[in-house]
Amino acid sequence: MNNKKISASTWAQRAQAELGAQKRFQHLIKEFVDHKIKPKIIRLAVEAYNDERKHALICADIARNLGHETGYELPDGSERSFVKPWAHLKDSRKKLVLDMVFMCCITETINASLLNTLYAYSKKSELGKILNQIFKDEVKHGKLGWAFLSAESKINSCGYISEYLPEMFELAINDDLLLPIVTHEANQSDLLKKGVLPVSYRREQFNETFITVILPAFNKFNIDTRGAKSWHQNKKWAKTTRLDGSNKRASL
Amino acid sequence: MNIKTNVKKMFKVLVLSSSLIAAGGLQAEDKKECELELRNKLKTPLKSVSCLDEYDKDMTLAEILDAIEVKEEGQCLTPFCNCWLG
Repeated sequence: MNNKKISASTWAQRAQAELGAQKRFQHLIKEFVDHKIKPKIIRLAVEAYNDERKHALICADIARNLGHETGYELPDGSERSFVKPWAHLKDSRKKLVLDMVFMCCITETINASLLNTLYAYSKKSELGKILNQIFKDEVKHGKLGWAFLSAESKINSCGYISEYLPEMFELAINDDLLLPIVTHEANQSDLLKKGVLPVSYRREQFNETFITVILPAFNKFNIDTRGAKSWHQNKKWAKTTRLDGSNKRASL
Repeated sequence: MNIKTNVKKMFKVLVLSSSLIAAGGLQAEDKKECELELRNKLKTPLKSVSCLDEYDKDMTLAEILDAIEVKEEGQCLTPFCNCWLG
């Protein structure tokens, strides 16, 4: 697969992911209303719902411009479904908190951090402007999650979150994106210009985000991260390959 | 590419500044309140807020205020570069 096809496929996956995120925000808004969450938080979630739809259209447009047929990974309308490990809980408040942690604190934080890096590489291009706009929205979505957790931790004990963190990361992180691929990424700067992070950078990007952003954030709210650290340490790709060819396990 | 440097900022951008929202924070609807707060903040020496990297004309007032709050903690925390408010 050449760089153009890799990029087209990546943007189509992003478009699909944005549609999924829109659906999850729709669900969250309903839950927020049911749980009488602060109106300001609800408004931010409604904004996020609208943002995700906008992002899906933008990502699909870029994918099509790069040669993707439909712009979406799953154009037939099928969904990539998964069972949330906390779905069986009877306590609907806990389920809501866990949904928020998974959706915003983990997924949106990873996205925002990735987009920040991509933007740093493409500031002067037209694509850079688009990445910057999406980045700013993703920052809002990530902040929504941490703000919600901050508020929740002041009124309820959130210790139960820790046992679900490894499974959340397992769901959020696609190993295929972080393991070495057979595809020849001959021109990394060309991929970056198309808004795609080469595999050799992806591991470092995720590892740094995991270690310097996500874990300290959970620790800030007194949520035990030992299980999450074990999950990370057991991943083959946690061993980063730096651009100089040296290998180094990301340190926790 | 210095991924480490880029990522490091994100903790403060995402997590520390989210406390504003949790505390009832800054929203577009609070425009008057924000404007008053902005005016008050701008009475303080700009030196303390002059390293917010790039002034982005698309930033909303709430985002600018948010950025000022973050900046006032003493470090350059925004993901943009160069100078803000001259």
